[in-house]
Amino acid sequence: MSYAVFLYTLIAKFSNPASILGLLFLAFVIPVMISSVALDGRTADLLLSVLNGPTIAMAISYSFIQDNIANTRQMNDGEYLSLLFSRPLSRAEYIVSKWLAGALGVFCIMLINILVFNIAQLIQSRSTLLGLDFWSISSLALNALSYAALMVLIRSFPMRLGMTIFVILLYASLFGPALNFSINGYESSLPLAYYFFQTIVFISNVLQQFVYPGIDLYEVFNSTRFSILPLVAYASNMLLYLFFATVLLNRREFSYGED
Amino acid sequence: MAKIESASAISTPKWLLASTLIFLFLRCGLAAYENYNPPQASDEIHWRSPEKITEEDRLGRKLFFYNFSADWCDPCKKLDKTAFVSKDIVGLLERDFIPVRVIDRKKESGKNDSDTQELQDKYSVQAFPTLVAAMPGGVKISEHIGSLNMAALKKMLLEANAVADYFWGKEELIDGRFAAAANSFDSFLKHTRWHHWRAAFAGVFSVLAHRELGEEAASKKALKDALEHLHDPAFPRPILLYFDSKISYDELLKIAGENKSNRILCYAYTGLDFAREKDYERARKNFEWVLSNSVDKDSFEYRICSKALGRIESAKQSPPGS
Repeated sequence: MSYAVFLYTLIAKFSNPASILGLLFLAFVIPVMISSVALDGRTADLLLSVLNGPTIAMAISYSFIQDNIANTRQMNDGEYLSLLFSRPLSRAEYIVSKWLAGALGVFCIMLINILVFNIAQLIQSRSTLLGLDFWSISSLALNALSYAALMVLIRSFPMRLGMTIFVILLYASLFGPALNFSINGYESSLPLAYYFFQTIVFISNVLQQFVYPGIDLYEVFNSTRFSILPLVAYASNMLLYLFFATVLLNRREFSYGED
Repeated sequence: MAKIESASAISTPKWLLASTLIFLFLRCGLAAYENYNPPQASDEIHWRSPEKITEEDRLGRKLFFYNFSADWCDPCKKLDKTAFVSKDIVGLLERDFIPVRVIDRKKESGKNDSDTQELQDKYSVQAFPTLVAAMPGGVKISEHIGSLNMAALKKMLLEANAVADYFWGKEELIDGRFAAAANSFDSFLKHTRWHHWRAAFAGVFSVLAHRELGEEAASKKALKDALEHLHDPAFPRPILLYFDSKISYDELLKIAGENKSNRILCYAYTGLDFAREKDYERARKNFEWVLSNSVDKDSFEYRICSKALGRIESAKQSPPGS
């Protein structure tokens, strides 16, 4: 791992006012907003699944792991990556450094999210609190690692493709909690809407199962049907993302000082 | 300028390649194995069907937990694989609830059996899964539509347990079992520490129950606690102020204004107080107003006024001294 790249990734987030404002919004404003509007049980569940789910984790990790790895000239960083790889730094080290920095950033911001939400709830004398026990903090740490790995892979694609994939994943993560029920008799009254609805649910379920690399340790270890498959799937997803990110970066050619 | 990168800088580390392949094979292998040999449950929920609910269950103190689902419902299957296999959930449901699974068969058979349809109509089930925690008598405590994770389901069950005291208290108050009602409300308030939105009404009911028992000191303490913790000026706080003699009856009705719901609360709770003071005429007028203006015949106020009116008529007909 390269400590210079690791530190740069973290510090760069605080280097300009726009980044700081974005972080403040994600860390403080969103949990307070959710606490204020989640007055009934169903709204609370939907909004908490956004706060505690993949949506915000992906948004934070996407913004932390900047420097679109594939494009250098198109970004304002000029020939940053070309200069970087003229140094004795392997591309795998670069990927790992980005990954760990992104994971640390996500973990800290998500922890602040939970703390701010709970404080807002307590101020309003509400009983709904997000857990801060061993299971939830461990799950948070593991999920931070895996979402950072996913975003490192997405940043490895060409900019437009990566951004398109990111947007699709982000919106699909919002559909999941909103589509977690089946309406009785829907298909006979509005068949077109029903099949569209079912398609969206199917896509969301596939993404949930195979792409979003989240894990809930409490669910895994508290189950009466214990299985290590969720843990293996989690590790496999994360390693696959890092592997493909490394392969994609390895295929790029960087030349510093081109005319 | 020449490219400056050695072969090692652009090669994929062996540890990354090896671990990726190992975990990938492990994942595929485990998934295939578990497809044919799913993990055995160390414990599971013993679901009952609606027709297996006995009269003894309905008269008992265990809450009912209804799982409205359908065989074609994917979120229901997800719930069965995730939340309902939690050790904590299984323990809670088996200990404190009567778990009932109500399966919709309309898609397969065209219609449901009478027990299933009756339950679906009673709880207005429109989507699956719908999870309902209810009193043995049928009063709904809480409801959730859609799949949810273990932590959320556990929270729902624990809250239903804590709130059950409140509902038991209301039933006991309706039936005139004031000692039990006072205990139930006091227990509810002790557990929820006034944070629950029902705490305001629990405070009022606690005061009423203690007054019925002639426990002036306990009633004053309940009133004091309620006024200390409840700062929202909306109802039922004005009723508490009236019980505390801070406002008159006319002032209370003025605060209620033309709002029917507030008026129902005023007439119902002050009517109970009038009946306790043996001012049967005023009590009867209040109860009759509530009975004729309530839309929901299953509401607490309607039921308690109906029963209290019956008690007043019995008291009037009983010879003095009996």
